[in-house]
Amino acid sequence: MQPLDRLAYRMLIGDRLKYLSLVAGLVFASLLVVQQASIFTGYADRTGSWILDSDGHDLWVMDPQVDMSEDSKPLLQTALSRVRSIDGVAWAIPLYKNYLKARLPDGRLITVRVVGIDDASLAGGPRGASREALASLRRDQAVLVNDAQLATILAVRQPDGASRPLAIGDAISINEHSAVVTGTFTATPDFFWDPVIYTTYSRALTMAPPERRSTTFVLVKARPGADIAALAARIEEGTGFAALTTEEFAARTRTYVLAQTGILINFGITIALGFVIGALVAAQTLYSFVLENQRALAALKAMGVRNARIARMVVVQVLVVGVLGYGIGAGLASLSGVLLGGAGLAFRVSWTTLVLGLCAILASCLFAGLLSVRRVMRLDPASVFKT
Amino acid sequence: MSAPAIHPPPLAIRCTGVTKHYGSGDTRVAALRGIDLAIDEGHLTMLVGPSGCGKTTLISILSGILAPSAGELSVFGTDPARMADGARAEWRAATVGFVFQQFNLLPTLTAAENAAVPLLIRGVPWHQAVERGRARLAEFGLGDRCASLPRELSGGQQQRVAIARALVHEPRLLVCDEPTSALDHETGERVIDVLRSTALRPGRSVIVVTHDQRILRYADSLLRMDDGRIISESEPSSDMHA
Repeated sequence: MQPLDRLAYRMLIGDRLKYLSLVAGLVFASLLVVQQASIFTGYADRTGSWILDSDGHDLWVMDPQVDMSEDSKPLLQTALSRVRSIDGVAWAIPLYKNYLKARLPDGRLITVRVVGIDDASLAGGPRGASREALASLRRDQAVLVNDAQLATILAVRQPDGASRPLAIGDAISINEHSAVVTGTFTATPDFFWDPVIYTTYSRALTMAPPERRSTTFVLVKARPGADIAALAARIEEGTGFAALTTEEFAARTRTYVLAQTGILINFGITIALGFVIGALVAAQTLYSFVLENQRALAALKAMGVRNARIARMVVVQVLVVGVLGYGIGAGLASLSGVLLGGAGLAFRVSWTTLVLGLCAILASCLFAGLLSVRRVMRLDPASVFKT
Repeated sequence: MSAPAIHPPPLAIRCTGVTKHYGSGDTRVAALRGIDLAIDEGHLTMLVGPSGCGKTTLISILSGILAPSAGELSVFGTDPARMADGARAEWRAATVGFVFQQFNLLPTLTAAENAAVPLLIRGVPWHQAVERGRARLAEFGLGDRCASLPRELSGGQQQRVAIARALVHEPRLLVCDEPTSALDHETGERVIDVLRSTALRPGRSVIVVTHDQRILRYADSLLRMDDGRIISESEPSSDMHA
């Protein structure tokens, strides 16, 4: 460390109260920025949970106007044959998905998302279902439910007022059609809250209101060694449908949700507020810190410290408090994510969040530092001779 | 047989027609009105005069902090006013030691660290600089207060730290603004002894701005200023008897 950098550091930490209030302000701002950004990232991730949990295929084929996973714009059943006719398709199966009403054993009526997967192959089912659970769909009236929702949204209220988890063997009805819970699956926490119920494609069609168009998606497996992007392009060209990989479909869903809901704006405002508050606290404290040291800094200038060196000293001080404040703040934010993760909080600390957060906090500190430095630059070193 | 040649001491500082104005137009104020001055090496020069007479402006110019508006200046053969800002700062760091009336010690540094500041400015490693600062403080009787912060020191002790700081890098020119104002008689005498011994070394010079009548007799040369001019230059003994 250069001697004057160390001098700057000593000047900074010597005034404990100022130093701690400076760090505390930045801890608060960093905590807010990282925590809110991580919750936002967690929610954004969850928008694609259902898509990412689907197993066994390479492409999702859908109406080109479909904006997201919950957007049902079904295709004619002939779509399946058209997709199968495209060169490079190993197999293609229909998938039904729609919002229907379900009545629980206690008589409560709830909205559920019914997903019908291919009867023969059972492909497109949830990644978190056991082989036995999936196979149980071959039984009459069988449905699979999310195990995380058994004791929450699907819980059965009993006459004595207590409630019990929905259990395998329980009978429910979906759109006035009888169904039996034959198994459960584990799913990644989802942004959309209505329970997902898996059944077979043909059974889902019997439950759903009659429609001319009944295929929500066609799931495609490419031939071994096929170029997925080229296959998607051929499907789009040959059928006029949209063909997306799982990641592309998840990204489209995320983009749509963030654009159409107030989530981005709400989190953006909170993050911006945290940033502004942090910047203001840092600026105010740094400024008063420099003001209090004005005479000492003027003495240093008189003794031969150049303006650029003074600026570097302030930058050293800013970096020390910035990195320390951000480190503690980001650490506390991560800790809060771990502690609250068990309560179902959507929270993911990404490297992007950490790097951007650090850049934002350091930028606010540097801005505050530059404001202070301007004053020092204009300081007349001859003022040290004045009483 | 010819008489041996007598060489006058070389000049430390020469000013010719130095003026300094602040502001412009109607608000223009003349702080110095044509200063002609020659200060020998090895001399302790004292500058006296009423407040606002231009003493501070003059020492600011001589120490390279301010540039004159007009006139010629030479400090140990160099005109700092002709240097770029950065070079002038480096020249100050290498050539000039300052003792400020208000000490201007850094409040969060220890006495030894404060005394080491000019060395730190010149890039001397921290521990080496502080060690030399400690040695300087010991010369001023503050060996046991090296680890004290300025607020833990009396005014006199702070002044001695400031003087140790001014001398730690062996500057050729020492500029002191009221160096004894906070000191008792005995300590003031010790400080002046140090300043004199510094001035007497070859290639050095000391300029002291003071109102302290007790120390005028120690000056080799006494300059009286008024209204931006040097109104008299004398040996202190003759001046004091005047």
